[in-house]
Amino acid sequence: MRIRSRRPWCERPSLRRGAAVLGSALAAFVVTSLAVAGFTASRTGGPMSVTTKRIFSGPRSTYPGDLRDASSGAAANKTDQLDYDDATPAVTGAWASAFSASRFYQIDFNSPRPGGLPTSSVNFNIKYASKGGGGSGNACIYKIEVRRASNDSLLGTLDHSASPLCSTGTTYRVVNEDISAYVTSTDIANDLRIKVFGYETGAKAWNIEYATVTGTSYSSWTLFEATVTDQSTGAATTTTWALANAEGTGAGATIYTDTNNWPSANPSTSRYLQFTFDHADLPAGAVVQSVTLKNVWRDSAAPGNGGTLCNYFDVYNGATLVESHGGNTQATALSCNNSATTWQTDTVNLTNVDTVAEANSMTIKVYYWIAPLCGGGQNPSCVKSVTDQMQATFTYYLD
Amino acid sequence: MTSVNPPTRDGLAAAGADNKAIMRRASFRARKILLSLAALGAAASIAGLGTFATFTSSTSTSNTIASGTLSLTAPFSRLGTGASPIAPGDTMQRALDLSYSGTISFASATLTTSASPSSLLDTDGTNGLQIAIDKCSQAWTEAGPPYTYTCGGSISTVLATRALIGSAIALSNLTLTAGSTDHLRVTLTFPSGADNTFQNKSSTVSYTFSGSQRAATDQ
Repeated sequence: MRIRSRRPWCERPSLRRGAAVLGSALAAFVVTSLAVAGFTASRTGGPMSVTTKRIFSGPRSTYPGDLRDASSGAAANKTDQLDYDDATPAVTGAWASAFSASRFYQIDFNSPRPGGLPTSSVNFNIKYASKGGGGSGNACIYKIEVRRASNDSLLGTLDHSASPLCSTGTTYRVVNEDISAYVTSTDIANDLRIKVFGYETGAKAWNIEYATVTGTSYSSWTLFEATVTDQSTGAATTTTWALANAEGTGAGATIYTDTNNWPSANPSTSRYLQFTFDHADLPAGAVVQSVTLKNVWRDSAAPGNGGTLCNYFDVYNGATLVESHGGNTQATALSCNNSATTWQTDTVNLTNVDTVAEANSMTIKVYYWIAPLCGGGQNPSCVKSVTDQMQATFTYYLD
Repeated sequence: MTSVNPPTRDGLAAAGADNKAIMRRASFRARKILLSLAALGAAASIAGLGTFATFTSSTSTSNTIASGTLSLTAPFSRLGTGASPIAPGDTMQRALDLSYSGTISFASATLTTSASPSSLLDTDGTNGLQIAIDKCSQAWTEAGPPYTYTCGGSISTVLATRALIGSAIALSNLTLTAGSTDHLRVTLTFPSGADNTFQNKSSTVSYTFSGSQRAATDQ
């Protein structure tokens, strides 16, 4: 019989290896536990709520849509024809009698909105009709494209090809197209192009009483045209609202020349150019930090013989005089300019325009006159003024 | 070279007899050792009894061992004071006294921040809120609200400017000694590079200061 000697467990190699592994693991666990298990303490502070302003401070510039020329002593409406329902329609060229992809009326709008805000209830509003005339028919909208003005990228199309939106002859039709799905922020609203594809069943022109974009971002706002490209005939004609930009070229479509010569020697309170900034559209509660007015102008012709064209202006809130800048003599005038080529730029801070109400209905009356006098003999010639740009910049924020 | 032959039956029997003899000898040695120890123990006991019977003396030692405490408190804090509405370029200063009120000092401290609700204000690491923490050698002098602070002593940087949200952000230059207090100023900055996308945003930020005990020592 074979007798097997009983060896202690510690002498068995397999058990010894197992014990070594187990021991190592245990040791590691103990060391780790000791390292992690020390005392800790913590203290929580706050919570601290931080909220940003709804609209950050910044300058927002716009120009007047409403212009009245009282250089004759009686105010005449020289308003941008696409801005108001005021019986002064813009007239297009002659359309084709049916849709053509190369015939459209394109409007680029101004950019007065503070950026980065969500928008709602954005509508393109147009009132239009056939201009009439022999053989005329109905003015019809076939489709409307919503685009970015900066790169002409297409945001969306309102397709009415199945049932075009037609006026009945010369009776105006009002169309309010909801474009909220495409204009979702003020960044887009500030870079907006609307392209209207249409026709006139008698291949005649349209009257467009107004074409604006309205929307809401804390308050309702309205965009006016900046530039129009009329390609109703198939050939493009581009015009810019005279007061919108300071092109400095003096080209006819980029300036406004008043209708009558200005008075001699002294200004007249009944002879002026009136500019109304009725769509600054500052939201209620906004804090107006500054308002600046810029007027870029020159003489229509040099007065000669030592004469110069001078001006001062008043700022109104409705019928209430808010402030005046410049006096009614050559020495006290806001500025004078005796040149038909050199542009005078007057930039004035309107310190008393410091409320939302004042900013949202600001009217400027600019009084011109020729100093020291004009007309007759060897005197300076009486001249008109030429306005290249009238711009107001509103700096504000909304908490 | 040694050759090994398989054992025979007689050989196995002989080997068994040898093993028994060895075990008997080992058992005998063990019994002798135990008897010797017993005799020595008995002698020592007798000697001890004899001594005890003559002089008596005793000593009683009570050794109390108690663990310390590690505690972080904020006896003064403006961190709960919000700010609204802020604009790019704005800064928000809030003071905080951080006390090491336990009996054990700290080895280090960290800050963890979180935001709920969250917005671009705390998720944008570049143009969102930035945090910096300074320490004044004495209590900050407070003005406001809006709160601003000046230090009558010396200022050291606890946390250099960085994005607001972070986990276990290491803090420097803290005292950390049990019983002491650090006078901290937390400054949030809304970078001037923030654009209009940051308009009308809101975040609520919580701050958690954490510390761990000093290294273990002989006590």
